[in-house]
Amino acid sequence: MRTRVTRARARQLARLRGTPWRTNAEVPAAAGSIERLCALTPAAERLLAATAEHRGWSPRTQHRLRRVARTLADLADDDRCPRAPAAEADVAQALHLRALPEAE
Amino acid sequence: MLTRSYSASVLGVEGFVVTVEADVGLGLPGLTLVGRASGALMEARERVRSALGHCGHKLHPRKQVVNLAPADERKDSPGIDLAVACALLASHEVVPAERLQGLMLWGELSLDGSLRPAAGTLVIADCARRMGFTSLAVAEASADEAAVLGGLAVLPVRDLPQLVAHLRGDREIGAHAANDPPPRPPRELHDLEDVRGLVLARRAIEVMAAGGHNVLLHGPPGVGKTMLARRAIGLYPPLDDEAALEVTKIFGVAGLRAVDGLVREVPLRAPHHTVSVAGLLGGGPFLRPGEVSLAHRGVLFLDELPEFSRGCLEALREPLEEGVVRIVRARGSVGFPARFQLLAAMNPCPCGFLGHPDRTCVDNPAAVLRYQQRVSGPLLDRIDVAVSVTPARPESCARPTHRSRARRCGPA
Ligand SMILES: [Zn+2]
Repeated sequence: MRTRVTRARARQLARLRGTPWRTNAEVPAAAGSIERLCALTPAAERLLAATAEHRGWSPRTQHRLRRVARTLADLADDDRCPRAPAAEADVAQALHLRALPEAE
Repeated sequence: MLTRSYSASVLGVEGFVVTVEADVGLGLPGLTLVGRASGALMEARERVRSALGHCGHKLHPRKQVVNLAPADERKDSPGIDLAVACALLASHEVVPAERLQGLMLWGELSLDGSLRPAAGTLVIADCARRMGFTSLAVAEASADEAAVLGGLAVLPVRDLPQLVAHLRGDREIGAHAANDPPPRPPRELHDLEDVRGLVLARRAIEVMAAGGHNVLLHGPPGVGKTMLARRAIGLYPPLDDEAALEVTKIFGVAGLRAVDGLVREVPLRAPHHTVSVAGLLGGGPFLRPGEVSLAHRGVLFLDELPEFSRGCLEALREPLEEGVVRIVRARGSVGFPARFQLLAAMNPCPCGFLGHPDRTCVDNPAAVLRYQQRVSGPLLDRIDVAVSVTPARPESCARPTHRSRARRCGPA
């Protein structure tokens, strides 16, 4: 598990080279940085947009999801390029990892 | 004769140079300190006078004025004592004034003339180095901390007579050789592989360590939320040089531990929910960093999140958004770095058992809603990952790796 974390950090550093940020969580929403540095495949974009509309999410919440999806892609056990966009499965898992407490 | 010596003062986690000017003139005998000196520095006058007298440096009974610059900034630390004493000694021509150039002086004088360490030595050393000083005189006990950064000759000083002998050229003090810090016992690094039955929670912690995200764990008591937080730290890589310097300076200013090398371990702070806003954010009469700054470059773990005061929860918003916390003082404000990751844990309801597979929640829905709303809105808005931590069920233990685990997963 620590190996995966270390590799994910290295992938982020490679992608964020030349920016002041070191982790996905630090990438700001301003000036299109987040769309560029936390890019999604078209299918992943569609899933995020549809969920956000369904749940009435603010842009801020969507950005948080996008960053988490990016981190999940960085953690993946494959040798995809650090600049390849995050996939639909990464967004799906990010959505799964956003279960706020609810009064049942 | 007007003479100058140099010291520094700590503001937040940065140092600034303080110039001490001493003059001996006509007028009623006495020692006056000019320049915005705090109460601590008014005591300095007494300490310096006593130390000088005790060491046999009889100053002429004349009017002596010591001016501290910059005048508009509050200078809190008793570490300025040594510079005040040296400026006076130079103005009385006990030590040559030119020997005080390029030398930063940092330490608190005891009444008997011995030198005591003052908090924040690493910040002072960093300031001295950046401002082009070539040497730094500190109490012996501070020498290791002062030498951490290198780039400065560090003079370990036992007492005032020893420094006077050095400045007069009678007996030089040798520069302190930077110590290789004693190898720390490697922190017991728990990985998360042995946490079974918490698949989602493990994933959340992994994402947190990999991408720097804020995480909320919610679930009934006793499912290992606290244990997860402690294990999470084991997943982080060591701090790089820049982060290590920032963290070590904060720890040093807080007086948390003896600094004998840069802190490389990622900090984990876990304040209790009864913490005050000042304790969490920093401040107080001596402007100490709070928990959010002590967790800089690390993890701030807030267990029982809804139990924290509303003031504390509100106050977290600025550091979470800006990575810095601004402490407002009478004059202006001081920023402390506070770029931490939030790891929060909470029960789903006041009794803790809402949604529990085997137990029944005894709270009424209105109470549950009130409880959850305490952390709602702006704070939850800054959470990236939220997972429910549920008690381990037998099926999640389907592949026990050894016998003891198998037993624990049996019917309870
Ligand atoms: Zn309950």
